Amino acid sequence: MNALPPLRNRGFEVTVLDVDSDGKVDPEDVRKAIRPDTTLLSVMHANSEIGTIEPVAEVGRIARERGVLFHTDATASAGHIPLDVREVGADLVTLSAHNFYGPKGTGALFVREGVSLASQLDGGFQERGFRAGTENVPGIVGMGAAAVIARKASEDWGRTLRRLGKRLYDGIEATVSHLHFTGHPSDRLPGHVSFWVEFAEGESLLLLLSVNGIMAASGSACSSNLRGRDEEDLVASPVLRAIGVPSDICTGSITFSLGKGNTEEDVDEVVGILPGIVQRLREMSPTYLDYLKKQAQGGR
Amino acid sequence: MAAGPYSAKVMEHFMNPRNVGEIENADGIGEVGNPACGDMMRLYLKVEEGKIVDAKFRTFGCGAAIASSSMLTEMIKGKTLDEAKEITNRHVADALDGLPPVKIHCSVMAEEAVKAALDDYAKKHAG
Repeated sequence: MNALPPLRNRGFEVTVLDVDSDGKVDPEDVRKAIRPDTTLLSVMHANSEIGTIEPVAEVGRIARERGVLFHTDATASAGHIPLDVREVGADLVTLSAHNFYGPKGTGALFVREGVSLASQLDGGFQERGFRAGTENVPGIVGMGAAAVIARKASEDWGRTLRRLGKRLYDGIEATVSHLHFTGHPSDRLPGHVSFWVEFAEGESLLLLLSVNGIMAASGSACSSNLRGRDEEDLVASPVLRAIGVPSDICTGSITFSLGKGNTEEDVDEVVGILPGIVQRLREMSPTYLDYLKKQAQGGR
Repeated sequence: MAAGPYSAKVMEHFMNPRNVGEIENADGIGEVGNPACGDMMRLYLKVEEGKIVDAKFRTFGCGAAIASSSMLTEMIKGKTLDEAKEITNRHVADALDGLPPVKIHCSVMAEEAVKAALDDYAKKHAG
């Protein structure tokens, strides 16, 4: 999304499509939005915040039919779920090595043969003049090695992560009330569990998880940009807004993305700790208190 | 323990907040903020002979909001109403060994809460 304003500034017109409440784009909407002068379609492969896998194969087919370039951002999915650029018909694919256990700070742009791009960084002739500067050879080699391992192991990882993810989902569902899972229930990244809770704020949840040694992420405004210059830099995630999470409770959003190092014990630890953390914050919250009072009155 | 952008003092108050709760028949109640903005604070005061003898709070918000609320209640307990009026967000933030720039509004919320509670007290006890 952050790539769009610079495009607009250069005079391009950008159409942004809505998604459904699971965060999925409807390929029919994509088809309808294509204009005779459309040059590029971009749909992410999977969303890192709510885990939803997008129907990229259908979108790719539409793009091919209409002769439009198709880009997919596979940052969250590469190495976790298969992506065949031929099957999907992707002309451009972006991916990032650290998401499949490669070195941080390295990534790749797949470019289908015949697609010509403007230079991203002028000055040198490296990478066919597309990106000036000496290549980061250790990074490239590291990413390549990580990709080879991921290619071999990702099916196993996926199986384990799906099982652990279900264990985490079931455990949280059974123990935390007023909780709403986000993203598509089945078409989602393996080991990805995301939700928002009422009456507890996201950054506080993250802090309490982190003092217990549990690292998670939040799309909450309060945790969006802690090193920003002023509060203008605090904004709730556009993903949560797009799937219709009410803005006053966007704040309690949490994403757990399990990795290959995680175990059943890790999951059980989270399930054991999370309800107490949520409860602790709710007991401090005036909104929860008001809710309980209202409930008690309604019960009479 | 300092964590991320937060000082050790902020974390200490966040982990062990003082004076959480409510005061029955409080002499002054101040409610500020809005959960839509990410935070909300309700402050209860008990006043005797022009002095704040007890203060309790409930806050929905981030670590800085909870720590600011906790620190504020500690600062105003035992103060006269006039002294409490003088408390600014700067005092709260300084007492917490500083807040990240994006979180200054949390200390502003604490200042507004005490002003609102004192106004409420004045209204209830007018004449």
